[in-house]
This record gives sequence, structure tokens and C-alpha cells, in this order.
Amino acid sequence: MSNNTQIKESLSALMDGQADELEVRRVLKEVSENDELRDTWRRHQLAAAAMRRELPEQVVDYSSAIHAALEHEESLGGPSAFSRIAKPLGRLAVAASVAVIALVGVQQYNKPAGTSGNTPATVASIDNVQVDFSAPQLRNSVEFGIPPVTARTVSATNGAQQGYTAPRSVIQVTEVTPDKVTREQVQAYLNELMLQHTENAASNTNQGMLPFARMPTDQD
Amino acid sequence: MQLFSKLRQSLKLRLPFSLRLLHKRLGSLFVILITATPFSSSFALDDLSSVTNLLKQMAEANRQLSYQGIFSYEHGGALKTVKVFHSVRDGQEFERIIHLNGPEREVVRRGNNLNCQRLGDAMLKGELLRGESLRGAPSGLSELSRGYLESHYNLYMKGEDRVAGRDITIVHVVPKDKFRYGYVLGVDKETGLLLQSMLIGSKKRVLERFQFVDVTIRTLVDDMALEPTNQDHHLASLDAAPCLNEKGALPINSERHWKVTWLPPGFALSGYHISPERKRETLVFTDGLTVFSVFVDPDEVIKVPDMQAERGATVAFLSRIRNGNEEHVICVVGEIPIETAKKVAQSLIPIK
Repeated sequence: MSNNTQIKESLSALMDGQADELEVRRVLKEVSENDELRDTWRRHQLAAAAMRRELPEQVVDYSSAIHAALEHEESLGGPSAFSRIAKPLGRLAVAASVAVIALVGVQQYNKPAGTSGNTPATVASIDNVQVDFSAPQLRNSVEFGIPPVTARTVSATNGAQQGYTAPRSVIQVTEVTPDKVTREQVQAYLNELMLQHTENAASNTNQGMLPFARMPTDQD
Repeated sequence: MQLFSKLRQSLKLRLPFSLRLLHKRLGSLFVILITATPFSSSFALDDLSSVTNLLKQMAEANRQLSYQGIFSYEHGGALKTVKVFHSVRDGQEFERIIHLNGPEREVVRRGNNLNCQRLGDAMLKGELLRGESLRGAPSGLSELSRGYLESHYNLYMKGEDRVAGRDITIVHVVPKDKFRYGYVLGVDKETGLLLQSMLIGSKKRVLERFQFVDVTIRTLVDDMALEPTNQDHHLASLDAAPCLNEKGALPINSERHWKVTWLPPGFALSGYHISPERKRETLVFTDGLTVFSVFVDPDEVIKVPDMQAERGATVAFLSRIRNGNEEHVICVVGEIPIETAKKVAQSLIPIK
């Protein structure tokens, strides 16, 4: 019972906007499993709404939907682009062999939901890059209509917000063998190659050290 | 003389291929004719050749000038700021960059000899390229002597702007095919130093942007500024960037085991490296502006599925290849469309 009291405290904290993330999760979890608690929650909400004279004509219970959404939400911040990329790897315990994985940048190889796990875009279907970003009188990115750089901020979660109904299907394992690799290993390997490539780019082009700005600054 | 080369440049565009040889032979005659022409100075600068000259100037400035400053680097909505020092001492470049935000990162590079001409430099400068250095590039580039970039990009001068408080000339570099990305370059008017560079992907998307915030050019860079302060600094190597020999060719390396059978037009092998400890073979290709690397590792290094990854404008396409009984991991990494990376990876074969 003390547990119940505790959860009710959390619940009223949530209503006051005082609950921390952990409490929110606990409350939502409990609410989804405990009918009594859900009723309490509804009553509190109705009372609060009535006090604010905002009583809706119809009462809708969003809690299960929110809970489900939270369940599927990936944690924000912290991991580097690569760990974001590689995270699904670990989760699905992808094994070595022929698995085709589209990582960050799903948006670019935009495919209808459900097919995004396939090897993206054939050469034939790729957009013609020969865009005229050189039209006369145009001088900078704003003028020639290049979208802001933020257009590239792409991740599976963002993808979901942008209407991807199946953001998870970016991973498709077509064959599985027993040789497991961890996402850390894959990430470390790719990071190593990227660094070496950066070095190659810096020494084989004329841009001096500029390519080294591409080094990941997130913790590997 | 400079005017002549400009004229030749514009002629080259108009002459059919078969006439170019003839025109080359008659080159000296042209000089005489032009110098003898009283109104020769009235020729307006051809836009194309002034772009070519600008890029050539840039190529030299980027290596030869001493400068220090702070630039920003943006990709995927993330912004980094980086401090850079570049100095030339006794004909050698000394460079150091420090990431100013996020985890501490510092890279130092020393001893890049100014006399060392690399293939990428030669392409960008449009200097003579003999067939030798491009052997293996299946695109028949050997006869090109100038304006190498123009074969694969359309170049446009796009007016002026200001970056880091300095006047720049803007150049749009638009690819002629879908195998590479485009660039918007901002070149310092006074010195030719590259002060801004944007990589433009399909649908005109800016994939990344370098831009100086503040820069001092032709400055005396303090010795201490070139020394790393962070113990964990990275010492950048020049291993995979050999100098062209006196014939303008890459030195032969007989130990190579792998070659690609397809390259986007204009790309050629500009460097390679075989690391003794890891048995990793690295092939580096460039078209003068863009670089991608091909890594071949023994299978035991990592057991991974085929995959592709992206970070900013950099893509990686990872695959496997079998040579006899040996399994190898191939990874193509570069600032190129993923389809290009994939096609290159799939064209890799062992050298018999």
C-alpha cells in the first residue's frame, strides 16, 4: 500500500508539473497497469480542469498512447552520431554476415515506410546532382535557396517525427551467422577509418587541415 | 604570355578535339600573332580562365601562406569552432588545429614539403598531367593539360561577399555528373586563401560548411602556437599522400594487392598506404577537390555485415570480398554520394 501512496504522491507531483523524468515514467507505467490509479488520475485531472473552468465536453485518456510513445523513444543527447547510428545494432543483436544497414541519413535515401531497410536508392534513381546552384545573380546559400544546414539533422527519431511510420525498419538483416559483433566494435572500426580518411583528405587535397574539423567531437 | 594561355583556354572550348593537336603545334605562332596585335589588351578576361586562375592561386595560397584564425564547421545542424595555425618554415608546412568546443581535440601536422607536388594539387592547379600519373584511370585524361576541373565540374564566378571581415570571390563548382558533390568556394580576394567552403549535395542541400570567423593572413605564427598543448593530440601523417615524381607520376609500389576497376570520371589514384602491422591496404582517389579512401582489411579485423554509414557529408560503405580462401573487409569512405562509394567498392578486385 505504501507503494500506492508513493505513486499517488508522484501522480500529484506530475499534476503540479513537479515530477522528474523517472517519476513520470513510473506514473505512466503504473497508470497503464493499475485501473484504480488511472481513475484517480482522471478524477484529479477533471477536478483540476473544473477548477480552472476548462472542463472539456469529452474526456480522453492519452496515457496509454503517451506511454507507448515513450517506450519507443530513443534517448536524446549524449551519444555521438555514430553511437546513434550503431545503437540499433546492439539492440537487435545483429550478427556478422550479409546484413544491409542504412544508418543515419535515412532521410536522404528517402523511401516509403516499410522499404527503408533495403539498400537505398540505385544509381539510376538518385537525384541528378547537376543542380543549377550557379544561377546568375545568386550569391549565397540563402539566395539560391539552399535549405539551412539544419536540414541535415537527421536521425531515426527525427525521421519518425517527419512522418516515418516505421523508423525502426532501417535495419534489415538478410542473413545471420553466429559471429556476433557489438555496436561498439563497429563504431570503433568506422571511427578509425573515418579518421584515416580525414587524414587522407587533408593530405591529398589542398585544403590543409580543414578536413580535420570533421573529426567527431562527441565522445567515442 | 598569360593572355595567350587565356586565349588558348577559350579556344580549347571551341575547337573540336582533332584540332587541338594542330592548335598546340601552332601555339608559338599564336604568340607572335597576339603580341603583334595592337589591341590585344582589349580582350576581356574569359570568365572560365579567370576561375581557373583563381583556383590555381587558391591552391598555392592554401599551402604557402602563413595564417592563423578561427573557423566554424557546420554539419547536420551542429556547429563546431576550430582554431587553426598554418606556417611555412624552411619550405615546410607546420600546421595545428584545436577544436574549441566539445571534447578536446588537437591535430598537428609537420614537415609537408612545399616542393612535394601531389596529384590533387596538380589537378586543382591544372598543371600538366602526363598519362603516367593517371594510368589506371579509365577515363582517357592523359592529354589534358589545363583546366582539369572543368572536365568534371562547371565553374562559375558568382560575385563577391565578405567572410571574416575580408572580401572574397565566390566560385560555384557544379558537378557535371551525379558521382560527386558540388562546392561553393569563397576565396580571399587579396591572397587567394580559401575562407569559406560549402559542400552541396543533391537538391542543393548544404552538407557541410567551413567558414572562417576570424583570420590573420601573412602573419608571423609564433613557434609555440605550432606546438601541441594536449598530450592526447593526434599527429597527422602524410603516409598515404606520396609526392609525384619528376615525371609527374606516382611512385610505383609493387606491394599493392588491390585495384578498382571503376572510378567516377576524373578520379585517379593519388595515394596508397600499406600498414605493416594491420595489413591494411589503403587506396586514395581524388579529382582535385574531392577525396575518397578505399580500405581493405583482413577479415579477422572485424566481422561485420555489409552496411553503410554517414556522418555529416562523409559516407562509409562497408562490404566484403573473397580472394581465394581469404575473406576481406572493404570500406569506401569519402565525401561522395553513397552510390559512388558503393560502385567503387563493388569494382574492387585483387591484382593478380
